[in-house]
Amino acid sequence: MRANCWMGKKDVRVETVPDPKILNSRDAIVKISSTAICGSDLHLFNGFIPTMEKGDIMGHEFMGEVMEVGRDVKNLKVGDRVVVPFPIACGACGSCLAGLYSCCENSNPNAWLAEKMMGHSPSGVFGYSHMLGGFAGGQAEYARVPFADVGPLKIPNGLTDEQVLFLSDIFPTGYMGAEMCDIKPGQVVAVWGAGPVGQFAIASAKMLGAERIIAIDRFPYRLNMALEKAGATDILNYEEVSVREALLELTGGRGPDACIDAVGMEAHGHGIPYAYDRAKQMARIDFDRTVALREAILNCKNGGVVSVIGVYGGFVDKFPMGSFMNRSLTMRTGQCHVHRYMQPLLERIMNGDLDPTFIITHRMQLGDAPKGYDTFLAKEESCMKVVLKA
Amino acid sequence: MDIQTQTEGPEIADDRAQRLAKGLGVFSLGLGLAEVAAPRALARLIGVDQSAATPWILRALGAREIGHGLGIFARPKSVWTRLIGDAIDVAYVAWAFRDGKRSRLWPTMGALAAVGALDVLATLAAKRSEFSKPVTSSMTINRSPEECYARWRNFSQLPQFMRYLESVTELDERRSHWVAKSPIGVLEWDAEITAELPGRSIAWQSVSPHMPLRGRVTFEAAPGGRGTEICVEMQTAPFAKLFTRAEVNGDLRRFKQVLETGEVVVSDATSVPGLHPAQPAPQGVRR
Repeated sequence: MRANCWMGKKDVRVETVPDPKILNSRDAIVKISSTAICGSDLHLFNGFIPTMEKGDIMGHEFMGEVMEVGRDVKNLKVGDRVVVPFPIACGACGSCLAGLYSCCENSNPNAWLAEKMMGHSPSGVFGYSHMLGGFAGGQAEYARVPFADVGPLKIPNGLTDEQVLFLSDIFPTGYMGAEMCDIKPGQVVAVWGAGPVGQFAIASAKMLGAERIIAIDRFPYRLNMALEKAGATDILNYEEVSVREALLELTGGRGPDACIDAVGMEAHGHGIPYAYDRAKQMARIDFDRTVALREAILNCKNGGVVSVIGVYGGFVDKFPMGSFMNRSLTMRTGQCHVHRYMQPLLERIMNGDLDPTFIITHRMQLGDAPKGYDTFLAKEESCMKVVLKA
Repeated sequence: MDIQTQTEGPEIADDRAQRLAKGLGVFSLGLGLAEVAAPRALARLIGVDQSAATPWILRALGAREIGHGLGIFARPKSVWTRLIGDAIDVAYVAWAFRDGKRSRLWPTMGALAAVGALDVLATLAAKRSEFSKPVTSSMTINRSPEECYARWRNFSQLPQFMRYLESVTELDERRSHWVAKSPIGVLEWDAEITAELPGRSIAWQSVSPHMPLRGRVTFEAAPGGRGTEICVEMQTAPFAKLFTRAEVNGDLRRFKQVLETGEVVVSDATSVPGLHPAQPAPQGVRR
């Protein structure tokens, strides 16, 4: 089959690789109809996630048709149309039973590697380094889906791929980011990063009843989408205004009740803190640049919530612990527990509460994946989301 | 959990260390008996002076030697106590140089030095052949202690999740034959269960002298109804390095996968040995 493979830093290529086969009795093989490039794929592309190997198949946002099922998969049959959640979860361990699917205790065969980096291992993830399992990803014609009796969501007839594809990651991720804010009527939420996840966080904050939603980014086309499509009430371009002053002004000096970091480890910013982060990251002393996270903490209202859904890889420093501790802030975070949001968010889509297709700007064939990465990374042609047809 | 109970067991597994220690034990008994029975003749032989106190000093030294000899037979590892005796003997002979026969005292000193060197060797060998510090690992498994115990106790199925094992054959209720692959080739040994509390714990130990190895696994109900806390301790001779903590932990993780999900979970990269990119293995061409 054809698959988009990581060949090194800033080098992905569509190669011919062996077809997947059933390896465990709860596997399914899915013929992929649509797949997408995620912002977190750019962290891999840029070489900021350790334990990648030349030839790794990329991609963790995908859907398609069930081609084959293992003998213990009873709920799916050949021909079913499914969306696959990006974390791989067994459904039987303590974490899965607690709803913490992205912390599944059984789905990462390379847990020992993750333990070295992180203390304990999270779940395995499709196409996201060997530390997270060494699973082939979904930017391919076919994919093996482990624990297919737990993860994949069957899609009813009448919905297009583009309507439901983002249930695999970014819609639930943005939703969880907003849910973790514990939004109450009248509250103000600020969202750092108006990329795809930021857009869904904004849209979800609106669904959950936030009074005011402030989007922060530096690309006018992203801010405009946040304002016009996602439901932001205010937009701040940090290259033009002081975020701190603007937030104080918009909140009567209190600061936002909740701050969502939808940026993660490759934050962009200005001044000495940014230059410091960037230099350390270039020297491989640190994996993470934390400009957005620091700003979210410092600006959050006393007693507020900082919700982190942007991806981080390693250790951070210059973390404003004094501000965080003395002002009674709460941080909530995690890779999205996609499994628990898929069904309710599918219903939101079917009800018409939200049409996730608004973020799609580019449609390409799988063979054009490398061009998709370049366009998305450079934010050329107002690129927001690239969907690949396999 | 009582981890202390693991300190019992064979103390010296290495045959040569065992023989050397016991040889020195025989020497201690012989010398001690000579010192007690014929102190005057011995005093002449080694060249110490013939004062009134000499026989009594030699008898006291002899009693101490007999003590070492008996101690070594009871517990070969105690061969190190001979080093203390050596120090006392050397001090006594050095003191005897004041008015003893130097032409005899020098050879005596030489003999003491030679025996001392053997004692050092025996002490080191005994230390080396002790068991390593236990390699331990724990895991919480969402199943009852009884279920976890029953799965583990089915020794012939252990190779399903213990990567280094080729096969385990149960010979009878207590004894089993183990075959493992290692970088130096296939290893085989017999093991027997040394203690067992059904549903709670199993301790086993190799009975093959070339394979110093013992292990213990306990199954305790986890607080809050979270299943079972399983704890494994493995010990080998330190130079054997058969397991690391990471390897034992990997075994436990696979055991958890088998119990909770039905089988060992593999990814594309881990379905084949060695480094392999995260793409389907070449031999797996499906169409």
